Amino acid sequence: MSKRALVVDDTMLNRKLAIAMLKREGWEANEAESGEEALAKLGGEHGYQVVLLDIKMPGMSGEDVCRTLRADPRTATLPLIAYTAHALEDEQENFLTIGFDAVLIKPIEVDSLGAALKKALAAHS
Amino acid sequence: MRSILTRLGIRAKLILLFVFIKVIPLLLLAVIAWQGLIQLGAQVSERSAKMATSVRDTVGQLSEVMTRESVRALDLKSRELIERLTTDTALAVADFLRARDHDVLLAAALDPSEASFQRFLRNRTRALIVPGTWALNKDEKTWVPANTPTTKPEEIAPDNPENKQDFNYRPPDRISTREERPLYHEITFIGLDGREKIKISATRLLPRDLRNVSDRKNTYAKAETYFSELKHLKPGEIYVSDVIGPYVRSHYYGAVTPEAARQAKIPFEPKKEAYSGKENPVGKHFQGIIRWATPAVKNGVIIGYVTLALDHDHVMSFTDNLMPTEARYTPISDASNGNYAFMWDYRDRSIAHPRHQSIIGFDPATGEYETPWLEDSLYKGWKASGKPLRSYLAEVPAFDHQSRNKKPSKELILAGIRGLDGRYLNFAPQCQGWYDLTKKGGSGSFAILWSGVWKLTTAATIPYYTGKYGKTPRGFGYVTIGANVDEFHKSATATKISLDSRVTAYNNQMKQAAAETHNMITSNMHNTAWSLVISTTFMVGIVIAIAIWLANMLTRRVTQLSDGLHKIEQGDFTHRIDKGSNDEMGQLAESINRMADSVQNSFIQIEGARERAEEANRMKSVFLASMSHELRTPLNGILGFAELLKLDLQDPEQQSYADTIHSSGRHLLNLLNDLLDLAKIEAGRMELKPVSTDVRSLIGSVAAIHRAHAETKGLQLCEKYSHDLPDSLVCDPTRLSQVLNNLLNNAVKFTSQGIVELTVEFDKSTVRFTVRDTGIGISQEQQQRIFERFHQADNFLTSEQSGTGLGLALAKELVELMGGEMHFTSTLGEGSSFFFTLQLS
Repeated sequence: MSKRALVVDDTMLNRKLAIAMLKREGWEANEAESGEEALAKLGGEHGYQVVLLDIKMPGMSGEDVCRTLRADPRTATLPLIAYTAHALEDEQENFLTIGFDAVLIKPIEVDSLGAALKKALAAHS
Repeated sequence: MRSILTRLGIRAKLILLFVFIKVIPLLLLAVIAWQGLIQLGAQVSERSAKMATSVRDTVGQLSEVMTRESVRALDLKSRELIERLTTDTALAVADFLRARDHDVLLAAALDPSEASFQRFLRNRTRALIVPGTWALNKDEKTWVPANTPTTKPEEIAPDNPENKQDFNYRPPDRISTREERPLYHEITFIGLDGREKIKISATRLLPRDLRNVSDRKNTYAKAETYFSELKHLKPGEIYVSDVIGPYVRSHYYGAVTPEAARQAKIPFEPKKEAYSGKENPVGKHFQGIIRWATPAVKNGVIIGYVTLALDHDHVMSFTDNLMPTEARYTPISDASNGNYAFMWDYRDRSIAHPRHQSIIGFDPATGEYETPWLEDSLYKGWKASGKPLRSYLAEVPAFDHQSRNKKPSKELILAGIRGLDGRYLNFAPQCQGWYDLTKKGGSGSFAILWSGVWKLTTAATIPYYTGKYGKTPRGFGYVTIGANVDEFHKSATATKISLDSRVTAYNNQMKQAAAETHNMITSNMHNTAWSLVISTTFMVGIVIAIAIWLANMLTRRVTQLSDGLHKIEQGDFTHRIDKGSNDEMGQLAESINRMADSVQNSFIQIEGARERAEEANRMKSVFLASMSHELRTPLNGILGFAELLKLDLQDPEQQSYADTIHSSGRHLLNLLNDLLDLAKIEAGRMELKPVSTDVRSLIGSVAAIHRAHAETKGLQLCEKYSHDLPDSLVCDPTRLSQVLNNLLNNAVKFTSQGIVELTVEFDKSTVRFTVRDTGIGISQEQQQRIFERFHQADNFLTSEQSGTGLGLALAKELVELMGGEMHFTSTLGEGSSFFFTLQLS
C-alpha cells in the first residue's frame, strides 16, 4: 500500500509544490483547499498517513483544524505537519503545543520536507 | 564631621553658625566675667582677711610690747623705789644706832649715881607701833584685829580746780597704835671687878639685882660676855654687842591655826609659839637686847664702865612696820604675802623678821646660840660628826652650794627650830646674793624665784661701824626687803589684761567683720552669678530665637524652591513656584518656573515622539511580519520548483538556470530572515533561550558546514580551543551558531588562499571567539561602515561574494543582545580578524 498524504492549503501553488515534492519522495498526495474540506476528507476511513496543514487560511485556520482533529479520537494520533509561512520561532513552538507534530516553514525544500515528514511520522510510531 | 555637616540642612547650619558666632562668645564672656568675679571675690576676701590679721597682729604685738615695756619700766621703777627704801631704812637704822653711841658716851660722862642714871633714862623713850589685840577669826583660819576701826577715813578733794589733775590724797594712819617705850631696858655702872655697882631698870626684862657680869651665867640668857671685852676699851671707845635674846620656837610654818595644829599633830597653843605677825599675833616675842658700853673715866683714870641695854624692839621696828607696797606701813607684819622687810647682822644672822622664830637667839639654859635651821645634809653631817655645833660649823664652808633644790632639815622643823643663819641656810640661795651685795658695804637687788613666785629682794648695808662692827665693810649688818614682783607692775598687768581683753574683743570684731565681709562677698557673688546666668541664658535664648527666625526666613524660600523642584522632579510638571519677591530668590523661582515650562513642553513633545516612534515600530514589526509571511509564499514556489527543476533537469545548461533561480531565491530568503531577525531585535521581541551547551560540539558542527566550502577553495579551516574551556557553557546555541556562521561565511567568502581560523578562549567568566582569515582585508574607509546595514564591500549582484548586507549588523546586534561585544582588526590585502565576547552568567 502506498504512502498517502493530504496537503491542505488555500494557495494552489503551495499545494502543487508540496504534492510535487511528496510525489518525488514516493508519496501519493491529495489536496484540500480549506480546513473544512480537509476535515471532510479526514472524516471516516480516509487512509492518510500524514497531513500538511497550512495555518493562515480563510475560514477555519490550520490551528482550528488541528485542534478539531486532535479532539477526535480517530485522528488524535494522525501525524500533522504545520505547513506555514510563519517563520517566527515562538509561532512555531505554539504550533507544536496545540498538537502539530512538526513544522515545515515555507519556502520548503526537498530536504526540509523530508526532515519534517520523518519527525511527524516518528512522533506516533 | 564633614558627613554630619553635609547631612544638616541649611536651616540647621545657619542656626549653628549663629550659635557659633553669637552664643559661644556670649558664653565665653559669661565665663570670663564669672572667673573675674571669683578672682575678685577671692582677692578681696584674702586681702581683707590679711588686713584683719595684720591689724590684729600689730595691735597684739603693740599691746605685748607696750605691756612688756611698761612692766619692765614699772619693775625698774619699783626696784629703784624699793632699793631706795632699803638704803633709807639701813641709813635710818645706822643713824639710830649712832645716836645710841652718843647716848652711851653721854651716860659715861654722867656722875655715876642712881639719880643721874634715872634722869638719863627718863626721857630715853621712843614710840613703837604695837600690833594691838588680835583674835582668831570665826572660821579659825586667820587672825583678825579684835577692834576694827569703824569710821572710814575722810576723803579730801582739791579746793583749787587747778590742782585737780592727779590729786592724790592719803589719809592719816589711824590704824596703827603707838606706844612710848623706853629705849633701854637698863643702864648699869660696872666696877672694874665686873660687879654691877649701879643699875637703873626701865623695864622688867632684865634682873634688877646687882650681879657680877664677868660671869656670863649672870647675864641675859647667860649669853653676854661683854665684860671681858670692856677691859680692852680705852676711854671714849665704845663696845657694842651682838643682838642677844633667848630663841623663841614655833612648830608652825605659816598661820598658827587649829587646823594647822591638827595637821602637825600638836596641841593648839598659839601663845606658846613664837610671834609671827599676822600668822600668830598672840605668840611669844623675841626679846632681844644690844648692849652698849664705854669706860667711865675720872681724872683720866677708868673707874668703871657704863652700859646701856637697848631694847631690840626699837631696831626691829625699822623693818617690822615697813611695807614695800602701796600700803607703805603696817602695824603688823605679814610674811605670808611675801612683802616684808627684815634685818640681818654682819654675820648674816637674822636679827629682825616678821616671824620671830626666824630670829637667831640663844638657849637661855646654856647661853649658847640655839641651833640654826640647817639644810638637811648639813644637819645630818653635824649629827654624824658628834661634835658641838659651833666647832662643826667652823669647819664647814659658808654659803656652800646654796640652791632652792636643797631641802631643810625636817628634824629641826619638828623641833620648832628655824632660826635663820644665812651662812648655813643652804636651801635659800638668796642668802649668798645678799652677802654678795653687802660684802663691800654696798646695796642692791636681784630677783629670785621663791615659793613659786618671783620676788625682788634687796639688800642694803647698815653703815654702822662702831666697835667690832667696824671690822668689816658690812658694818652692823643689812636690811633686806622682799617684794612680790607682780605687785610692782600690777597696773601694767591690769593694763595688759585690759589690753588683752580689748585685743580679744577687737579680734572678735575683726573676725566678725571678716566673716561679714566674706558673707557679703559670697552673697554678692551669688547674686552676680545668678544675674550673669539668668542674663546669659536670656541672651542665649534670644540669640537662638533670632537665629531660628532668621534661618527660617532665609530657608523658607529655599525650602519652597526645593519643595517645588521636588514636585517637578516627581513628575508634577504643572507645578509652579510662588515668586514671592523680586530679590535673587524670586529671580531663581522665576528661572525654575521657566525651566519647568520648557521641561514640560519638552516632555510633551518627547512623549508624543515616543508614542509616534512606538507606533511606527509596532507598524514596522507588523509590516515586517506580514511581509515575511507574504514573501514566503511566492518564495516557496520559486525555491521549491527551482529545486525540483534542478533535480529533474538533465541538460546542464537548463540545470544551471534552475540553480540560479534557486540561489537567487535562497538569497532572498536569507535577506528576509535577516530582516526579520533585525526587526525582532529592534522591536525588542528577540528572546534568547540560554541552555547548557556543549561549545566544542556546537563549533564543530558550525565549522563542518563551512569546511566543505573552504576546502573547495583550497583553504584550511581550523578550530582552536583554550585548554581551560569548560565542557558546557550556558548560552543560546541558535544565536551563537548564527553569529559564528556569519563570521565564518564571510571569512571563507573573502579569502582565496591561506587559512580561516576559529579560536575559542576562556578567561574567568568571559569566552572570546575569534575568526581570523588571510583574506582580502578591509580598507580603512570600509572599516568605518562595516557594521552598517546593507553595506557590502561591493554590490553583491555584481560580485561572486554575494551576501545580504545585513549579516555583520545582525551578528553585532546578537552579540550585544547576549551581553558581549564585537570588534575587528583588519589590514587590506592581509586579512581580517573578527572577535566577540560572551559573558557567562
